[in-house]
Amino acid sequence: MKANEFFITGSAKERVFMGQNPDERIIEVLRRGFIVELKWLVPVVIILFLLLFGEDVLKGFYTESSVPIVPFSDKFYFTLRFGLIIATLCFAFNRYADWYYSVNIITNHRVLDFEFVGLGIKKIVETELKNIQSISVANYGLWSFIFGLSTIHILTSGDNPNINFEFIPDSKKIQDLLSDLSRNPRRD
Amino acid sequence: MQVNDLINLLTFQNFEKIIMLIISFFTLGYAGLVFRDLIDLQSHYESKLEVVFIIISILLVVASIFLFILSIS
Repeated sequence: MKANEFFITGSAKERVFMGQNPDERIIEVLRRGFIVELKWLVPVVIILFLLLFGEDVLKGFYTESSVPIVPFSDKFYFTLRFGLIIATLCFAFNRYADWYYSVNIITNHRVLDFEFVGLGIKKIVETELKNIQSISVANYGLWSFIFGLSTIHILTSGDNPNINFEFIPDSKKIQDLLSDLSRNPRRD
Repeated sequence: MQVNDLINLLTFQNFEKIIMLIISFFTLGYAGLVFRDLIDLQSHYESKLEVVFIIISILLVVASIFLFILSIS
């Protein structure tokens, strides 16, 4: 079983995504490499660690004379800490869900790009396979180079929107697949 | 009401309570928005982890409601 099959339910004949036609079959489902998500995951882990264990670490530096200037109640400190923990968890969960639901779907009819960034920000782009003019692959940055994640630019004809598959692993295979499909769409 | 009475309302305990209410309001609102965003995300395509996501999201909302109750009590 391929990794992406875990994320999408249903067989090829079932309706899986919004707007899927009855005769439309999903060929590939792609997602950004998770390593890219470390840019928010690492700060979240550090913040959670500090909120959970920061006080114990700081106690090591306390002396007898270091009395707090503003003596808030224990309940206040608990509320503050618990609130920050929940807010951090909400942020992390939201970012993970955004990553999970931001997929690029290739069907035997068209190419779709679902992109979600933060609360309420979304971009859904689709184009027919026959409108694909050219496909290019580019590497951006050291992380892309080290982890083999590339960005695929799909240029389309006329007024159709261009589509980018960002930080995709195994990009050569996808480029080849898209190239074949654009020459011979509606392949079963 | 005299000005002095108003000033007396801003006691240290009240100030603490106001800050706690602000924190709990913020947390509750954020958890609610995350839940709403998840419902929106799930409308786009089906996924095997839908139930897990919903449960996590509801737990976050419940935790923030607990915080809110704690801050007003």
